[in-house]
Amino acid sequence: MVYRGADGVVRAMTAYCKHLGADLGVGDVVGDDLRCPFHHWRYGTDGRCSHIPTGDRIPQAARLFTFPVSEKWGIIWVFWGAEPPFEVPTIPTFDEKTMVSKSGQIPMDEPLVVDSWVFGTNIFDFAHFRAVHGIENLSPDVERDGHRMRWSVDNFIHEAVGRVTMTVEKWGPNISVTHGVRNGEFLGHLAASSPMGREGTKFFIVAVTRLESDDDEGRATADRNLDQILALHTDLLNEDLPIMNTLRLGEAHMTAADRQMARYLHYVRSYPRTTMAELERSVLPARGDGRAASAPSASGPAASAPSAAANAGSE
Amino acid sequence: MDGTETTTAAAAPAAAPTAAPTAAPTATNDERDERRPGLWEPMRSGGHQCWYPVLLSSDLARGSPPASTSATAGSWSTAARTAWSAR
Repeated sequence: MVYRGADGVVRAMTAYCKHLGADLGVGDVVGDDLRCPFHHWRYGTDGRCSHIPTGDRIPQAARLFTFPVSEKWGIIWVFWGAEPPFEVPTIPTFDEKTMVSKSGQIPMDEPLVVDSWVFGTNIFDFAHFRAVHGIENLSPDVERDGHRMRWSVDNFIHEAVGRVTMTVEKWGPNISVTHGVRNGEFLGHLAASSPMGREGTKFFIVAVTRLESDDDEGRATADRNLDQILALHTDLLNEDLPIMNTLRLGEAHMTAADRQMARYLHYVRSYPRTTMAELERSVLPARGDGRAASAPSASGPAASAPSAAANAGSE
Repeated sequence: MDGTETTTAAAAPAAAPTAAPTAAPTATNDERDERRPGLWEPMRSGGHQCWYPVLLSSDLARGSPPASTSATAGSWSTAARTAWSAR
């Protein structure tokens, strides 16, 4: 759940009230605080419950997990975890004084029902570029530097953009960045995906190009470039979509041509994960036995009943 | 070592890598959450700790209702209505 307080700061917190599990996404914002729609418990910017209208003592466990948030490229980003190992990537050589960008979602022909990391393997599946997208002769080496994997080609050819000398970066399981040159024009993009519950996995994109001259002609050229970048990635995504959505994730027999994809899958497999329950436990006060106090699950009121009963009995 | 790793075609193994998926062969998309061990590990073990884009900045005004994937009001789906915003 995300909201923007009166101070203009965006915050992201656990989506469910610690009282009875009401969805805070249907609550409201009061100043910089968040108010639950059910009984008007209020939560401060640190995620702690700050007010209960009945005057009851506030349970120590009435605390939401607050996620790291970033606003970059006109997009609100939420880090699923406590400490990001890297910041939201930038597009190399991007200069806000001389370049322009557009941000939005990539329109999809149908909802994508696979997780981000599954779709992310396409970046390193060079054989599929030819078979699915008609892009020939891509077999670059891949360099890995921490959480960034990168490859470059001088022969990326697609009808939406023509021939581009391009570098492609992949950050973690869900973010990709490209930057390249076509006939002297800079073309760049950043795309990232998020699981959106029943709506499936959504893709956001930022397209970037240089504003060669700040006049009508220059702006028209930049707009054309930005729209071509969006068209390229819309085409690529929607060509992959029916295959991804019907993929049988079973036994696979990879060959030598799949080695870079296999490396990436190996990286993703070891990539750290966490659950909402783990994150919520991490902010609760330690109990006398050295364990963190049990937290109501984000899954709903039934799971929180034991701790709720304990509070009612002791207070 | 400077932390940079490069694998070239010549250095890569010719045989199928040991990291190849080993999930149950009959798993389908519908069954994925139940049967995806090994490399195609299910998300039930937790989400990847990474940055997720959730909303365009312009879709979340000061004091506006909160947004979430679960809520029916102020849902993150509002972002879908903003197709293309310049900055």
